[in-house]
Amino acid sequence: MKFAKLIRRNLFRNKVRAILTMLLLAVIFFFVATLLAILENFESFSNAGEGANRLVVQSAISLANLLPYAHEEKIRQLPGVVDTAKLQWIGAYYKEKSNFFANFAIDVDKMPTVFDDYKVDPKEFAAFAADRRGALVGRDLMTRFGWKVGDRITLKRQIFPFDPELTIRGTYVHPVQTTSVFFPMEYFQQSMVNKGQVGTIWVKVKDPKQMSAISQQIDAMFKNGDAPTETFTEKEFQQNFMSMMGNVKLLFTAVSSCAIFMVILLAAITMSMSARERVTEIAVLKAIGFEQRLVLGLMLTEFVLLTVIGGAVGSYGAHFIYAFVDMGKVTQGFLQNFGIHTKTLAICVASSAAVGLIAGGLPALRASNLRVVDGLRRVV
Amino acid sequence: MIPLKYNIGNLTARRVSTLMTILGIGVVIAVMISMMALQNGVRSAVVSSGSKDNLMVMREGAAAELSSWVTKDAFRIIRAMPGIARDSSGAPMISPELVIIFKIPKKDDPKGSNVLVRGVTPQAFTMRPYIKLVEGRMFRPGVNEVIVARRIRDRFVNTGIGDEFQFGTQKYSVVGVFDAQATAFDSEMWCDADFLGQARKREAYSSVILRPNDRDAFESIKAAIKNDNRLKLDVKSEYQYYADQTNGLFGIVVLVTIVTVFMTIGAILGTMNTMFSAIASRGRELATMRALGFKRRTILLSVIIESAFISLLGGIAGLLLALPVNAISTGTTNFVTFSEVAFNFRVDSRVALIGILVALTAGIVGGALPALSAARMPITKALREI
Repeated sequence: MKFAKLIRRNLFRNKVRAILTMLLLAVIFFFVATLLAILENFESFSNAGEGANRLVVQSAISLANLLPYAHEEKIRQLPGVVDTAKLQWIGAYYKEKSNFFANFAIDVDKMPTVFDDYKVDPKEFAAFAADRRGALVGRDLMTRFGWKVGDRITLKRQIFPFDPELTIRGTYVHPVQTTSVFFPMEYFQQSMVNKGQVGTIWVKVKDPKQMSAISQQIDAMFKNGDAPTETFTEKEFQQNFMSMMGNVKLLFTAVSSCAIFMVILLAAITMSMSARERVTEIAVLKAIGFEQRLVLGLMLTEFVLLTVIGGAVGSYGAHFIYAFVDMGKVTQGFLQNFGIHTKTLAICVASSAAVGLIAGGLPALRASNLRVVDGLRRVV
Repeated sequence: MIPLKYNIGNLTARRVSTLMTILGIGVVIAVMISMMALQNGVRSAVVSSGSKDNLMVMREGAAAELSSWVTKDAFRIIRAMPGIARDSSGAPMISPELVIIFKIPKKDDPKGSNVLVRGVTPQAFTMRPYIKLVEGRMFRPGVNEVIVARRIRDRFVNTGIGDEFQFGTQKYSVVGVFDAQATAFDSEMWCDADFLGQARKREAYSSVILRPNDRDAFESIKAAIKNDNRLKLDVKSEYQYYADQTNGLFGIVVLVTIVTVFMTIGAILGTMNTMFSAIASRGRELATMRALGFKRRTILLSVIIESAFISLLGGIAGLLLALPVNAISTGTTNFVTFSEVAFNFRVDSRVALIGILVALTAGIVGGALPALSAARMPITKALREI
C-alpha cells in the first residue's frame, strides 16, 4: 500500500474533473439502483406466498368471470388438500381513486388455516371474526392512512355495486404483503345479484411436491363444465399480474444498459484526458525504474477507484434516501416496501468498477506503453 | 465575437472525444425520447379515444364498462328520450354495447392476455366514423363472426382473417380487420351484440353510447338520465370516460418521470465534464486570446456556444437513434379495465422537440461553469503553464 498516496494525489489532481465524474456516476447509479430495486420489488411480490403451499383457482374464461361455490366443496375433498378459502378482489378505494391498495372479501374462518403466514394477534382476530363488517388491515396500510384499530372506514366502489363500510378490528403482519384490507365474504355476497359466486379459490396443499399434480387434477375436474378453471401456484398467479404490465424487465434492462453505456463513454473521455496530461510524469516514473505493469496497475486502480466511489455514493445514497422517504406514499401505493437491498448494492458497485476498467483500460494501456524517450520529449 | 469557425475547429481537432460526447449525450436523449414515445403511445391509445359529443351511460359507480351493466329496459327508456340526433337514414344515434374480456394466447406468450371484445350494432360505427375496415368484410348479425383491430391481430394467435379461435364453448371466426386511428378501440375485437349476449349468457348491455342533437340536448339528456331513479345510471362524455382511465396506467407515468429527470441530470453532468476537459487542454490558447484583446464575456459566450452546439448534435443523434422505436408495437394492461392496451411507441414532433431542447439546455447549463472558469482564468498564469 505504499502507493496509496500516489494514487490519491493522482485521483484528485484535477479536483473539478474528479468530482464531476464521480457525481455523474453517482447520479447514473442512483438511477440504475432504483430501476433494479423496482424490478426486485415486483419479483418479491411474486414470492409473497413462498413456502405457504397455496394454489389459486380462477376461471379459465377470463379474469372477469366468477366461479360457483360448488367448486370449492369439490376441491376440498381432493386428497392432499388441507383446506380452501374463497377470496374476492374488490378493487374499491379509500376517498380518492389514487389511494390504491388491494382489498379482498375472504372466508374469515379459513384464514388461520389457508393464510397462516398472515400473523394476527389472537384477540384482534377474534374481534375481526365476530364482526360481520370487520376489517383486517396490513400494518403498513394502517400507517399510510393513519388508521387505528376501532376506526370506521368507508371504501368506494369501482367494480361491485356496494361501498364497503367497515370497522377496523385488527392488524396483520406479513413479510411481503403489508398493505391489504380483508373483510368477510358474506358482506360482499349480500351486494351481489348472482349470489354464490367468487373470483378465486385458494387451496392449501399439504405437500409441496403434490402442488402440480393437484393443480392438474383440479383443472381436469372442471374442464368440460360451465365454469372451467385455471389453477396456478401463488407465485405464478402473482407473476401473471406482473406480466400483464408488459415486459417491464426488458424495458428496465434496456434503459439501465443505455445509461451505463453513456457513462462509459463520458468516463472514457475524462480518463483519456487525465492520462494524456501526465505522459511526462509517467515517463519519469518509468525512467526511475517503475515497471510498465506497475504503472498500468496504478492507473487502472485510480480509474476504478474513481468510478467505484461514484457508483457507491449513488447506490448507497439511493439506499439511504429510500430508507427515509416513504415511497409508498410518493408513488401512491405503486411501490410498497420499497428499498435497495444488498444484492442490488453489490451489483451496482461491481458494475461501476467494470465501468472504470472498460473506460480507463485503453487510456491507461496507451499511457503506460509509451516509450520513455517519447514521453520525456513530448510537451503537452 | 469569436468566429464560430474557431469552435468548429476545436471540435474537429478533438475528433474522438467530440464524437464520444455526441454519442454519450445521444444515448441519453434517445432513452428519454423512447420513454416519452412510450408514454405518448399509451396515452393516445387510451386518452385520445372517444368523442366529446357522445354521451356514455353506465351503471352508477362503475369505473369501467367491464363492471357496468345497463338493462335492456333501461336502454329502451333512454332511446325514447327527446334530443337524440339522427343519422342520414333517420335512425336515432344510440348504440347499446356489450363488453366482455376474452383471454387469448399471445404470439410471444402462450398464457395469453385479456382482450376486450365489444358486441355492437351498426350504430356503433356511425358514431365512430374514424373506425375503418382495412381488410376482409364486416361481421354479419347473429353469427359467430368477429372483426379484429390490426394491433390485436399482429400480437395474438389465430386472429387473422379466416382464422378461428375458441373461447369458452363457442368458436369465433375472424372475417375482417379494422383500424381505429390509434384509439382504445385499436385494442379490441368487435362482433354482433345480440350474438355475444347469447353466447356469453348476458341479459344486459354494458354501456350505451348516444349522440345528443346539440349542447342543450347534451345537458338535458344527462340530467334526465341522472335524475331518473328507476335507472340508477351515470352519464359522462365518451371522451371523459377514456380520460378517467389513465389512473390504471399510473405506473408508466411514474417510470417516465423518473427516467426523464435522471437522464437530464446525466446529460448536464456529461457536457459539463467534457467541456471542462475541453477547456483545460487549451488554457494557453484562451489566455492568448484574452491577451489579444478578446473580452471575458466573449470567451464565456464562445465556450457556451461550443457546448450548446455539441449537445445539440448529441440531441439530433439521440433523435436518430430513437426513431426506430416507432416500429415497436407492444402492449400493457390497463389496471382499470384489466385488459390489454395495444400501442405503438410514438415519436412525434412534440417529443422530438422536447428531446432536442433538453439536450440544448443541458449543453448551455453544463457549459456555463466551464465557460465561467475559462473566462476567469488569469492571463499570466495560463500563459506560463506548460
